[in-house]
Amino acid sequence: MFLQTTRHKLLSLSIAAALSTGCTANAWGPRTSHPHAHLLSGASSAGSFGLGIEQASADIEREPRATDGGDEDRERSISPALFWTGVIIGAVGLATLATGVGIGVSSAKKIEDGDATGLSRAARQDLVDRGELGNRVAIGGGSVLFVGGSLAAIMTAVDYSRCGPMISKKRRGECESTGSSASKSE
Amino acid sequence: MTVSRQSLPRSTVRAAATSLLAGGVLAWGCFIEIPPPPASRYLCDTIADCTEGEVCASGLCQVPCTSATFATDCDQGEGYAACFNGYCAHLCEVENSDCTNPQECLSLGISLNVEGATSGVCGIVCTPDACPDGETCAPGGVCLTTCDESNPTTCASDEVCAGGVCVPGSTQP
Repeated sequence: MFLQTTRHKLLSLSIAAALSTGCTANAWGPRTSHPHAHLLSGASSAGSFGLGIEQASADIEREPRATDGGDEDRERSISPALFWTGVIIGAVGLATLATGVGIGVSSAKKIEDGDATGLSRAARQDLVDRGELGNRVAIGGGSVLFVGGSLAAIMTAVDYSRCGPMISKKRRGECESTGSSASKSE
Repeated sequence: MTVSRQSLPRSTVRAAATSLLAGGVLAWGCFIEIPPPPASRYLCDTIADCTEGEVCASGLCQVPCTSATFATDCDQGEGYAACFNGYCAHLCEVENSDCTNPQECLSLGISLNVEGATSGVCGIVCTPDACPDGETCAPGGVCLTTCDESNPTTCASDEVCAGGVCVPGSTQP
């Protein structure tokens, strides 16, 4: 199931890389809270009154754009990185869980067989200790899997809600249509 | 420009389902120690391999007893049902024995359970020199308490002295 999801994500990433739309540019939520936002709107409306004001407004406008792009790029790179970190942690956890379960199951089987055919007290105790170790390994692995899976799921959800680079083609289309309708209404 | 927030993507739901599945596997895979079947015995090489009160006999840790001392030597709380050939013994089903090799389920010729399986005791048939003091190996491989027919009180109340050994039966008419 994870592999399927991963494949889906890889596909989404390639689609996201192929598309460089306005939605992607605005992918990380509303950015109207910039401290110079009111100046920008003021400058653009005042632009028709003189070149000096226009020049000043252009200077003001250029700076925040560069800052926003940097933040956006950073956020964009963090999201997939955290997703893949979660996937890797989850895979390690799953492998550890499987190892622990394997140890437990093999110990239980050996004890069952030993009870039928004969087993010394010490040998049985060794198998019991091994089974309990398997339990601890499985619990540890399960916890790591939970953390990794949660991280991946959260990053997927965050990316989805923010129309990030990992979203599906369908979702990207939704983001674009929402973005364009929003632009039209502005 | 804002983007409407919608329900979570399928991949997130799938990840959650995977976590649940993993939890299920975790619960299924947990090792739980199951106590050995009552009739099973631990293998041993020396008495050091056994616990207090046990001896290493025929390669198995066993609790020694005699017919006369069964009540005190064999803890019925542990499920012991008889003193058989010098050692405390559990009941077993002949058709589905859980006795530890070299013990075997020796048939009593009767059924003591509701399912009708033939009952027996886990033990090893005796050899002439393999019975505890005061007992002798009778035909059939069972150690029986020796007795003097002139002094039948050496047998238990539900036994009679016949042929120099105590056998089940009653002196009461």
